[in-house]
Amino acid sequence: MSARKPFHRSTIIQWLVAILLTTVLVLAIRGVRLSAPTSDQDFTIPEAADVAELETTVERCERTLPDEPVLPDADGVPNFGRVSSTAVVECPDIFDGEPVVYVGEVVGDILRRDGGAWVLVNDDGYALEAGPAGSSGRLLGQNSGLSVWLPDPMVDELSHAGGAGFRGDVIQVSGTIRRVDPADGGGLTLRAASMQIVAEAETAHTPLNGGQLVLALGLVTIVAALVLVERRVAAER
Amino acid sequence: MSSQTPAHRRSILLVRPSRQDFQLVGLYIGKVCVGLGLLQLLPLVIALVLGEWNSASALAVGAATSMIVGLVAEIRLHTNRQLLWSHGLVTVAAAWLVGPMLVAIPFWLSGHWGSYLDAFFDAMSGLTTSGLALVQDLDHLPTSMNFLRHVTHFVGGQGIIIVVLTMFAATSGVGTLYVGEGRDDRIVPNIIRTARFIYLVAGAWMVAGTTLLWVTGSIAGLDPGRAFFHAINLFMAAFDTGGFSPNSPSVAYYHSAGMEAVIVVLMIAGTLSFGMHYELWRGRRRVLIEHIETRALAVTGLLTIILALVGLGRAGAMDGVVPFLRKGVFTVVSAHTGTGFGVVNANLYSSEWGLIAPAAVVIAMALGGMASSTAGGIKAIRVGLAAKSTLRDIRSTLAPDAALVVASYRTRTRQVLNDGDVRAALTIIVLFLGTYLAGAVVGVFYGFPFDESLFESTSATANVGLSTGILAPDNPGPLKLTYIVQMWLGRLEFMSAFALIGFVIALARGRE
Repeated sequence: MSARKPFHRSTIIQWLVAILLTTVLVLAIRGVRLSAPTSDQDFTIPEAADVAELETTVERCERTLPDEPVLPDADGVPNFGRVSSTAVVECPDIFDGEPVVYVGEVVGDILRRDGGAWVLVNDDGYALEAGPAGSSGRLLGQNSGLSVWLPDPMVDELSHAGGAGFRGDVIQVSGTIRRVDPADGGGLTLRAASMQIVAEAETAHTPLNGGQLVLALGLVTIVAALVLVERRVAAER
Repeated sequence: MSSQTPAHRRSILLVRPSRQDFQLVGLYIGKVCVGLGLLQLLPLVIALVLGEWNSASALAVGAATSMIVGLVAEIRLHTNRQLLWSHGLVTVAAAWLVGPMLVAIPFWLSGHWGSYLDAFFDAMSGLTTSGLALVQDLDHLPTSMNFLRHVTHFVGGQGIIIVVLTMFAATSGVGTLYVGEGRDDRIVPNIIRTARFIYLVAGAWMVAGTTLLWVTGSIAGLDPGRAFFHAINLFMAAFDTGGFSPNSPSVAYYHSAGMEAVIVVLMIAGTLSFGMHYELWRGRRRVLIEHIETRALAVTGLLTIILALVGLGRAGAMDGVVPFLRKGVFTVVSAHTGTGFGVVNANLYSSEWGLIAPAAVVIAMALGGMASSTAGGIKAIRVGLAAKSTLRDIRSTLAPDAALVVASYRTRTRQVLNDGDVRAALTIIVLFLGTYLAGAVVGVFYGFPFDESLFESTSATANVGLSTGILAPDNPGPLKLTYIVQMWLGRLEFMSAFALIGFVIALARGRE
């Protein structure tokens, strides 16, 4: 006959302990996520941040066959003024070959070659309003931008592209939209004719999440203890 | 017995899982958790080197949580019992749910995902090598966290169970885990050596692929350090047919024909089965030409490319040969191999590409790559068997009554086509088609057009990652959950998932 287990080692108690510890862990992780400190650094560019208003001027293209006009009432407007990336992507046909003005943050890498550089210029909320999400703690959706070709003299004016912990140079580009740019193997691009820096690149301060650090150290200590226990148990088997 | 009630008769074949069954399944899930914890140490080191302190602590929390779960399982559930077939299937299906839950922790803590569900979505997408993403402000994501996204492709592509087999040289019976993970091609008789061969192949391709991408990236204008970062990440996403990319425009970011050419080669290499890599490794190039999967893949690939190019031409979306090749052919190869890299903005599929070209992309995604590769979808072997069976039936109809029509096909050896293989293939094909359709219906329910919903649903189920722009952080939770389930089902090719569902039902209704 097997001996009866002591109460504190019964299956129900062990399950309850496991559920309790899991709940504590989940709440701790949730707590450090929700209490993460954010920077109050101001990245807003007042004269450039109202992108949403620009989008109202463009309707989304419907799928069409070549014989059908994309937008019958486009009236061949020669100059759209300032455009947003979402408007251009929604309906590249009406912007094709047209001069436009575009404002956004240079992000990622400056791909310098062939007398100029390809840069990704985002005009989303992170670029013109909130700054990098990791710093501000504000989530405003996914990134949105255009590929821009800058000739060499303009590239020289750039100081830093945006990335982790950085809001890159914010630039205003005047240029021409290419729906199928032969220089990019058929990509949708903006070829700059002129460029000016609207805001210099700057570091986005990210406050240290102390609670998360303490939790990490606590959990690593538990792992170390469990490794020792596991070795001892394995040796006893 | 006649005295049994109908409910009783229905449950007669279900045996309620015992405590020992839970112990065995839990133990192996625990091993997977330890493996995933160790996996997170790699980006943790990068975070410490780069001084990304919040990312470092987020990764430490994720790694430690995974290892705590795994170590507790090892201490409390240790057993020397052998895994049975059903244990293997249930373990794999459950591990593919628990694994993404743990990997989602550092994602969520990074502050770039709107909710834990979004982080879980991307972790599932990464491990299943789907490539659909809900990350926000990717272009400012810390380097270490971006690296973790791509590492999930590498680990998931080879198989998280394979990782465990390789790292812990597990005990007998682990072959069921290998098969349960959607692989049926044991390359060499020993399962551990098979797992190690898979990592040997991946390692060799990693050296070659990363070097080539590093060189072409430098030529494209990246500085050497950044070129290496992009190269290693792109390699993992391309060879493992994943589809994540370090920056938001995917491969279009680089504006480089050289990088696109290298990526096409890596995507095709990734969609070949590891058995095929083994044959090529041994110098048996004839197998590549004669194999039913290679032939099926070549035919469907060519047809979908032609269809896409005709569609692009008809819609007037492209001018000239180069755009057709760099945008049209690349996209179809990306879809057919199950990778999901984009060279055009997602919205352009609906605003610019007309109807025929996106339809070709959907067909390519649905068909997928080779079995026992990192690709998803129906798989070329099933397409090939279904085609062979159809041709055999047509020949039978035309032949004299007394004639016996026999069809054969070649994998690594010549085999006679039998009805059992055809039935098994057709069952999976029907399940895939049904899942594509079901996901599309859910998309329509939430107000999206049917064609775009079908595109997205197929992309999720076939673990591809291309999107028409439907998928976004502000999607309703049930729609995200639908895509998560589709990615999970598609990666496991249904059978392990069904075993897990059966396990749960047996728990509730089975007999002792």
